[in-house]
Amino acid sequence: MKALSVRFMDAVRAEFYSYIRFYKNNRAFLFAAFIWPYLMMMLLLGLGYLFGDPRMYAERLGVRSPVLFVVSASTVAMSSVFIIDEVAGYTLYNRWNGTLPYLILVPMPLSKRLLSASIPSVLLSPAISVISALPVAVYIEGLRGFMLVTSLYASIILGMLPLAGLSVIVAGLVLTTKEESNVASSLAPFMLLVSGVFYPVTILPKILQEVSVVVPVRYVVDIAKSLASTTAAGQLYVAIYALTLMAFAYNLFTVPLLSRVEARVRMYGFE
Amino acid sequence: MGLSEKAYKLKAILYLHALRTWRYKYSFINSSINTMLWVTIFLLGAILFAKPEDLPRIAPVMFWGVSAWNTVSYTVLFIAGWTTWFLVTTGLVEEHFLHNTSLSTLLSGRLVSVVFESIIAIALVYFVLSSVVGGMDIADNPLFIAYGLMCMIAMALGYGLILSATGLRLSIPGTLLDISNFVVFIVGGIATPVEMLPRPLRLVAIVIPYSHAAEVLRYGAVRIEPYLGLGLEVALSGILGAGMLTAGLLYYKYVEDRYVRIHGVKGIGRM
Repeated sequence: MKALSVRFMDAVRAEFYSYIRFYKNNRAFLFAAFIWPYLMMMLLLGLGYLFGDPRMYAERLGVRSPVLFVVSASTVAMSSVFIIDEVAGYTLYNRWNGTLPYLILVPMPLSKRLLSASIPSVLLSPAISVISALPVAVYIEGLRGFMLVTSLYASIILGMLPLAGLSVIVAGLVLTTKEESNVASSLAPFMLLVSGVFYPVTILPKILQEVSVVVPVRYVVDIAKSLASTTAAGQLYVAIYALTLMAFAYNLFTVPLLSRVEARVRMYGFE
Repeated sequence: MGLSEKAYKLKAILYLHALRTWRYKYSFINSSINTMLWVTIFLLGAILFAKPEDLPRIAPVMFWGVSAWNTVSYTVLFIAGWTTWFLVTTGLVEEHFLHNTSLSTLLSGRLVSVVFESIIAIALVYFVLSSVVGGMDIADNPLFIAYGLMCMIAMALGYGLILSATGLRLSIPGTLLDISNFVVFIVGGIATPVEMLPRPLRLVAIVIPYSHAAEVLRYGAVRIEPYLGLGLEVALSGILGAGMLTAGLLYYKYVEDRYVRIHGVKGIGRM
């Protein structure tokens, strides 16, 4: 039986290959991924300029450049959406294609199988968003803009680690629901909503402010706000500690939860 | 194909989509919540640009802007996005050809899901926005609102069919289709009255068909005088709606007969 097992690193390598081939074969999709942060930025700034004044926005958020802040926030938002959609959508896509039975039959625990699928998303999807944001950041703030966006990449990676655990759990749960789409896809916008991605968390109802304390994206947004802030970045270290703690906590639950999902799938199958 | 056979097929397709909406109710509910969350994220951000005293005046305009956009973008996404991601991936295109059923008829039935989804999403957005602003009047003349929305749906259906047919040849993913939706929302006179746009953008808005139906809708909602006058905007909306729908159906038939039945379809490739 041991001779049949697949090494984790081999699965990761295969997933990287698959991820890169996907974008290579679907260049229109890659193009869309690059311009998505700009579309989000355009939507918010477009609404803002039409209905009000960007100086008021900058003043209320305490940031120097509203455009730079919105670009950074959109980058964080897109990375979070990508990872949840890609990892949770992984099982769904393979189910539609008819390749899911082969993945389930791979001699490897489901938790490791899905975790290996999440690694390329964790590393590469924020890279796509960050690279797309770089030109505007450099144009507006020069070297400072470059430093800001590259530091943001490190913080997004840190923020994606707990999200990877969460996404793997969602991907496993998608296997047990007999639905046509990812029924948990509203998780990504919900996390963005409570994280105050384009506004201060304080404008949200009290209950949502309390929920946001356990949402990793909130701390990545806090880091983005600190980096773009006009005042001292006091909350930066708190955010980094919180994300490190969450990376361990969220991934701790992944393996036992997925073992139960795997047992259920092997017992009852999936549609 | 006789009239009775056409009616039979239409009935079957409407039944199919109503049944699918019920069968996949969690996906459907998730989709409505998803929309509401995304819209709320952007609205909360955009509100920070506005002066507090202006909010009661601009909130109904924002509400109908996002409601109309939601309806249009979901019509396009549920038709064009669904074709590439679901119909082609699951191999259902050939299945329908074998039963001598045009894909355009099948896809038009997706309006059943769009209408249900839009009703829930619009109600949720009203709930969120009115609780932020503290109540708002949104319907002065429901007849114009219904007419404006119906014309927009007809235009979006025609546009969705054109993109879907093009996607069968080029494997354009649904995500790429969203790009035009974002652009149209801001410069297409959906988010704000055409009169409020900067002068060069007004010309762009007039060229985009949705702007005329949106002007009629806003007249019905808050009595904002349409940019080209009420009579002309009503006539243009009807003509453009019928024209785009006819163009979509004719183009689909052309692509099906001249390309897909001969060469097959292109899906989203991975390897």
